[in-house]
Amino acid sequence: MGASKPRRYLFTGGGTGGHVAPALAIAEAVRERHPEARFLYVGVAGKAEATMVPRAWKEDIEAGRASLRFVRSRGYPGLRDPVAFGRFCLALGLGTLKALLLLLVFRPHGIVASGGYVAAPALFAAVALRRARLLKTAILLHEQNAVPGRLNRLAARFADCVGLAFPGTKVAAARVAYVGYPVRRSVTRSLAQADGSSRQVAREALGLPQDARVVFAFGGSQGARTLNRALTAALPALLADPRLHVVHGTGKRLAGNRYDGAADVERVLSGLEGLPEGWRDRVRHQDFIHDMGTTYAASDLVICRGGAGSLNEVSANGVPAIVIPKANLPGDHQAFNARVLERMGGARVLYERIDLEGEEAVEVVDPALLAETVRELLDDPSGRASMTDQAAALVRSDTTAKTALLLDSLDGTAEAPVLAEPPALPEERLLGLTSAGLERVLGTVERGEETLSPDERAIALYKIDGYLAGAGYVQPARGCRMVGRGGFTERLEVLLTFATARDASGTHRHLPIVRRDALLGLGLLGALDESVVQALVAGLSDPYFEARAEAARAVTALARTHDTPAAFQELVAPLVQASADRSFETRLSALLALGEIGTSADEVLAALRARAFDSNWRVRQALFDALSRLLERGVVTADVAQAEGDAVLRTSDGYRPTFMLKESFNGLRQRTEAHR
Amino acid sequence: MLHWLATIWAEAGGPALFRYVTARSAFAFLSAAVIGIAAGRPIIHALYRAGMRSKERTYGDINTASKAGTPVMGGLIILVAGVGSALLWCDLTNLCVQVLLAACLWFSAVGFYDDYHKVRGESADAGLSRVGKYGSQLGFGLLLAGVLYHPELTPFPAGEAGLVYLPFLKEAVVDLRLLWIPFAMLVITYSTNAVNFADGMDGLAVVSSLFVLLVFGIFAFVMGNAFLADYLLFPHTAVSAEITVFCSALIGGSLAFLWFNAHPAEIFMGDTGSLMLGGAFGTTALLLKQEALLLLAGGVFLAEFLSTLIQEWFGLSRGRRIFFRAPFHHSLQHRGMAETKIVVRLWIVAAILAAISLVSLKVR
Repeated sequence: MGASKPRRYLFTGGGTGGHVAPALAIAEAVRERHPEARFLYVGVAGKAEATMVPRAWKEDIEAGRASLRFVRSRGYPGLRDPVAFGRFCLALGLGTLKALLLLLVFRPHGIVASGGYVAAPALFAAVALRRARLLKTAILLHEQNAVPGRLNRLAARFADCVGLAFPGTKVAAARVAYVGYPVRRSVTRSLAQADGSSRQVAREALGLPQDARVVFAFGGSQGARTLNRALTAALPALLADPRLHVVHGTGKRLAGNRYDGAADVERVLSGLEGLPEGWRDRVRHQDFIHDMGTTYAASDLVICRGGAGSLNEVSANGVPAIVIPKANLPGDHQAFNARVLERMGGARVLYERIDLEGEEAVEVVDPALLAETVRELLDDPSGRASMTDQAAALVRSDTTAKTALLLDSLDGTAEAPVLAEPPALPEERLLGLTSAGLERVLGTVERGEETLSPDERAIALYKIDGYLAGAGYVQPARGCRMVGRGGFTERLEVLLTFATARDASGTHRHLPIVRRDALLGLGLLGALDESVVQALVAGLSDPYFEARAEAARAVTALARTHDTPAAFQELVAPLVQASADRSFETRLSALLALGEIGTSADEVLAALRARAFDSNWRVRQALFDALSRLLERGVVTADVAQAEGDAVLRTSDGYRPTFMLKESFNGLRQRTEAHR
Repeated sequence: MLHWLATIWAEAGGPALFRYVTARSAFAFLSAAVIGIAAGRPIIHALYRAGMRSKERTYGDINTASKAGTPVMGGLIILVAGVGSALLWCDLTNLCVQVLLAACLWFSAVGFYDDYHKVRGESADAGLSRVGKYGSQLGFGLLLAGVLYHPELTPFPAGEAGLVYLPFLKEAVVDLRLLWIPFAMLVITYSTNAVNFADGMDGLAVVSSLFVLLVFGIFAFVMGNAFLADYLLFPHTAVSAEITVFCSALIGGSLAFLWFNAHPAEIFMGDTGSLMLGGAFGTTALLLKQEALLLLAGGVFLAEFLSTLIQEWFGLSRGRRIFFRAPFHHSLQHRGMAETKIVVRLWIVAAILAAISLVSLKVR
């Protein structure tokens, strides 16, 4: 590699600012090593890179040392929707073809990919060309999140090296290096100015009073609805402190995005009361904040999302943070990121929770809780100082330089840098679990085998809320069951709504299986009041057969935990009706429930007698169980129970066969385990 | 292979017995049954040792704990015995036989791959992906349809490859022309999946299959016999007679499998067996131009297929169940009916449907 020809580097990745910023930061360090190097950024038109790259590379582009080219690409939509999947394949195919041409012309020495679907075409093209021996290039992948995304997991196999931002990220690759998160110099507060002079300068630049307490809130380049709404709604409480100033990045509406942050904030503001006079002077709304570095430097506290970029920038600038991680993301990566920072002492995490806003279930953060947390942190300067120190431990100033060195070391043009050992962090038990995995854990909680710490309860609830607010039926239904299993009585309202809510025309607002599992959750949860009884009465006449059966089962479950027969009397008549239901499951469950709650022998026995020749033997089996319960509870006498039982048809087309051989084997296994 | 030897022998003055379809069908059945029953035990032991044991699964409130540990891939018994004796007794130069052999081998290979990964994978759902499964079925269907439609390879009289017949009707109802190729792909996909869904209880899929094989065997014999075809007004294609021999061999192999699979089962056919049988049905139906017979004679499979489809497409995709469980036999089980009872009742249904199918030989 002679000095005559400049080296060439290709950068790719984006979609959101969180993927573009690290690529630009690494580019900064590469530029320092090779002032004459040629850069090419491959991105997708209309996304964050389309505005950020020309801004950051203005001089280089004008000098002809750098350029930005666009290819097509799309996020992976899953296999469910064939049209979306087809468009994804088409975009990716066309994008990869164009990237092939770009690579063959540009012939980079090194490729830096910072993740996101935007990086896919260039990566696939590079891998294909390397396989075909048409191109020799080093590929460095940078993973910014504590949990790698789908594309990065796939791409990691082909990369020469994967640089990690968080300690403990699990990724399968030829070589993994914990380098930290590359932060652009423009956003890093230089250590020389850490004595407070930079804050002074920054506040002067922004026109903020020197003695103000500045809260800086932003939800990433596209804005975050939860954060925007919570902060805006918290303004009356926050601004009660006369020194408090707020800088709020509401987010910029991008092509293909429905959410318009600025408009949403205005909408919330218009319905707000109790704002102090002249508040507009103390709150500034900006759709996009370009001078992030200055704003960080001027701030006492940051409120942000849990994206890796935001958190690392916050840490690099030494500002304590309140983090509101976005729920329901693959692998919970925002919550993971936030927890890493929280456990290291640099942040407080506020979890989103579900709120039933009229029709739809949305995620919110309680404004009062947000205001309270802000005040607590602002009133505790020493606590904030320690948070700052802890946060700084996560970020190392030499990350970008070392990453650039690492990139060059891949093709032997530089010595590999010496990297720090990642700090060891305890494992997270709940974060990153799939919904099925979490349900399994909550099952152990339900059976009393395990308990959750308060931290874990908060995380579990945060995840459950994400499921409850999810689309389709699988996740909301699972969320309902988990509310019950984990005993989250604070979500009783959600279960009641899911089970019974109807729209103006009287049709149920929630899907049948969601209603079924909301009723199941009610049974598991064990809370009992008038509203629960009403929901069960409604559930017993639900048009969906499984929901009716589940309502009856929930009655049984509740009756077993509450010894208050009077509370259930309203349910007797609907259960008697359900005991003649079309669906055998409902008949069966209704009979069992009557056995638990019936107090008047005449009423209950008439319903039981009507089923003595039921076509389904399991219904008749339930008759015996119900009679046993009525006898135990003293509702009927032994003679009556005997006579009623005798009248029931006892032929059956079901029985339970057993394998004697397997039973003996299991017996042996139990004994061997007992011996250990 | 024996057919070839017998031909040489007969030309040299030996007995002609082994050249007749009826005799070879009987021998194919007998040899398959004997080979299968003899080979079954070693196959079961080998599969068990190799760890090809089914896993415990829970479908709603139906738990298969009592079935866990039973070897899967019992389709190998049918393959070894049925396809093995077909190799012995069929005329291997016959296109129908070649096509059927290809179908059996291809689908048992696909099923084997699927079974293997289900057993070895982390969960019982770790088998072939949807894309792989449907791809293998549609791909084979395309290849098969291509061969059957090709003017030089086709076993059908010129210009008749695209015709579709219905039971109880003399004339072809429609000439699909080139559309017959996607139609054939659908037939193969349907038949493999339908048998696959039906495979869930001891003896259910295999006995229902026996009836289908019996019906198809008889139809093939009639169509391949000039006198009978003429009398019953069927288009006569001499090549189809060999299908009778093939079906007899598969019947023998399936009976041998039933020897071990009868409740309580010592082995399950797995996808190795169900995809292979389904592939054989679909191919036979296409060769005999009796695709609709597949639905009638295999009515049990149709019910299993439709119940699954309706549950998925009209139920679960809209957030509700329509049947208690799907496929159909699990719904009956959910109601509390014992497995043996369900299986025998479905056998009875299969027998009645087979009888109706045979009536359509004459009533047209």
